Amino acid sequence: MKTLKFVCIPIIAICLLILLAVSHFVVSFFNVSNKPFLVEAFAADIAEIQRRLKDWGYYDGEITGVNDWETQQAIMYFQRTHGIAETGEIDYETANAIGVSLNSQNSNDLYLLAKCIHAEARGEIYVGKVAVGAVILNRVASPDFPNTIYGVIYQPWAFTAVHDGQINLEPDSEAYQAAQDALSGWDPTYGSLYYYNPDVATSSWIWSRQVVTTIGKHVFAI
Amino acid sequence: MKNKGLIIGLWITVGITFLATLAALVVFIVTTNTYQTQLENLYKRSFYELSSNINDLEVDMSKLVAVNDTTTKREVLTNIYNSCTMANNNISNLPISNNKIEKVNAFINTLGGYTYSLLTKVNDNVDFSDYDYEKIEELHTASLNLKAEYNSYISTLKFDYNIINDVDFSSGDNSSFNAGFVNLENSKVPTLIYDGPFSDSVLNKEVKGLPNYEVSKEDAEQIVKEKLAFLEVKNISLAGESDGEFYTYNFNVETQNSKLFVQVTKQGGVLLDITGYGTGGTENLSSNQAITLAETFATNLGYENMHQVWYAENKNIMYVNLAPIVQGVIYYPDLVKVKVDKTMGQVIALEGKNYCYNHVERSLNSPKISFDDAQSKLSKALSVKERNLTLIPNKFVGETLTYEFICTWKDYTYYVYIDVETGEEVNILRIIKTTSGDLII
Repeated sequence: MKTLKFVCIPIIAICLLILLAVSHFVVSFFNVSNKPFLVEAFAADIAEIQRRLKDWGYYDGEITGVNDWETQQAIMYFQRTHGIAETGEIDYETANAIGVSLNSQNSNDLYLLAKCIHAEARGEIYVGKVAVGAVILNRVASPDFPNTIYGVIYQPWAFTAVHDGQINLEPDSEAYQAAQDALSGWDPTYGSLYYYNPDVATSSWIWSRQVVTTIGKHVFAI
Repeated sequence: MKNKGLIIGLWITVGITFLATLAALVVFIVTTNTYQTQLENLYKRSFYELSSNINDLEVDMSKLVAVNDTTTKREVLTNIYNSCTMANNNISNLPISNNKIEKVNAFINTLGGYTYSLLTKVNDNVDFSDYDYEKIEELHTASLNLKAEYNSYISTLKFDYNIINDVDFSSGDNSSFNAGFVNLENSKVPTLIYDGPFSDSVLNKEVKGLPNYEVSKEDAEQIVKEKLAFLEVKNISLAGESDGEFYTYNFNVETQNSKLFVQVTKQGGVLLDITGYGTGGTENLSSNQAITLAETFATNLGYENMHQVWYAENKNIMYVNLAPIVQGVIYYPDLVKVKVDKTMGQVIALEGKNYCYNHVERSLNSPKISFDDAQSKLSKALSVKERNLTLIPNKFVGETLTYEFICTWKDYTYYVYIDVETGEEVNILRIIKTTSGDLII
């Protein structure tokens, strides 16, 4: 009779583990984030928001351009009185109600570029990040590729980190500045359209491209 | 009794686990199927819309040879341009590697760019040249081939064809979906010279602004040491060479408080590009001090007569655009960009590509119309704040001498450019004021 116990208890334990795994899988598979869409608000935008909220009496602090706790409290107070979901975050609805344009077009290009740089080159030296940004913009200007930053970045198989979803990581300040440099015209690769890591590149086709330079771990080519 | 309870417990647990796993699996399969169908629908839409774009292109190209009326010409050209834009979008949505479709992309983009330049001609009341008609015919033939190839490809597909079944999602290069586009990639793009985007003259720009001698690696290193001496260079090492639009020697330069990547041209030994990261933080320099710093820095590197024309700032990192100002004329084609970290109180990056491409001794024709005549051509809504004589780069190739009027309307600021010879408005820019500087669109 003891053997029965020895058999039953492990089986029950294994079943419970499977149940746990299944429930975890179900939760992660069907979990759809419903966070409102946010854009990176620049210091300038935040300063403008602080100025307006101060004029209207929602905010007493200094105009710092920093989205700190006091600013968030003021935003929540504003959201409460305007019937907007009280998140304390600067989403489109709130920015619109305050009357501040978040420069969505440009800051979205910058944001997407920063995301792609972060995903593709976060282990690289700084110039290697600017270089990746420059390649994306060179593609936008080239007739052989799509004509927008979105088109180039989301083109199927164009970038490994977009393909596997790493693009959705939040970029750090180095990635932002590298994106800003690339958009301002810095191009340490002088017109390159491709890059690859020679240690891991599997496509035989990529080796046929004419090499321009090597920066960090990446080879840049046209 | 105790064992019986244990056995019942066992059965219940096994049963629940089995049912839960089964239920999860069913939901998973159903959901995956839904996703697959939606993805397939998106691909199909792009696939067949591309076919209709390519068919439209051919028809409109053939009309272009026949039409003579300005309004109809404009309409046909606009249709072609729109079809090109849509075709390009649809191609980029398809699950196909770029290297399997780049020639088709190039053909469609160049056709769109050329159409744009023809549209400009129509708007300026300029007749198409013999060259244009010759090219239109060549392009029509090419579009005819493209249409035939794409339609014959589509006709080989079975009625229940699913694109996603043909796609290897782990690697685009191995997809059998690519195979269908092989013949399309044989389509030839005629060489085109025109004033518009994607033109060969834009893509193969000539370097005009570099001295006419070559320097060695060692010379280049010496130049970096000398020019950047004031930054207290601690370490300098060669980081390879670049052979692209410019040939450069690349150096990693470590200074007292920054790490810079410096590129020196083989032709002329010019510090063409410096890249560096600024941490930002507290402000130790005023904006005016930062501008002076940027101007002095560029001048020290050999960029002549540099003056600030515009700046933007974010978190105490300042981007200053400099242009040569000589005898009251601003030379915008020779723009040099400098990045200043106001916390470090130091220049951390410089970009001199435009200058090195374009800077030459220029002889400018004297204006045919006066400042006041040009100003009278401005919209009556604008009030003028400042006016300058400026050389501006044309949208695609060449340069034009213009009067620049900095004007306001309500809260908006505009830069309006009037050609000094024809009095035509050649460009208009609007400034978006932010507390961190201006943004030009």
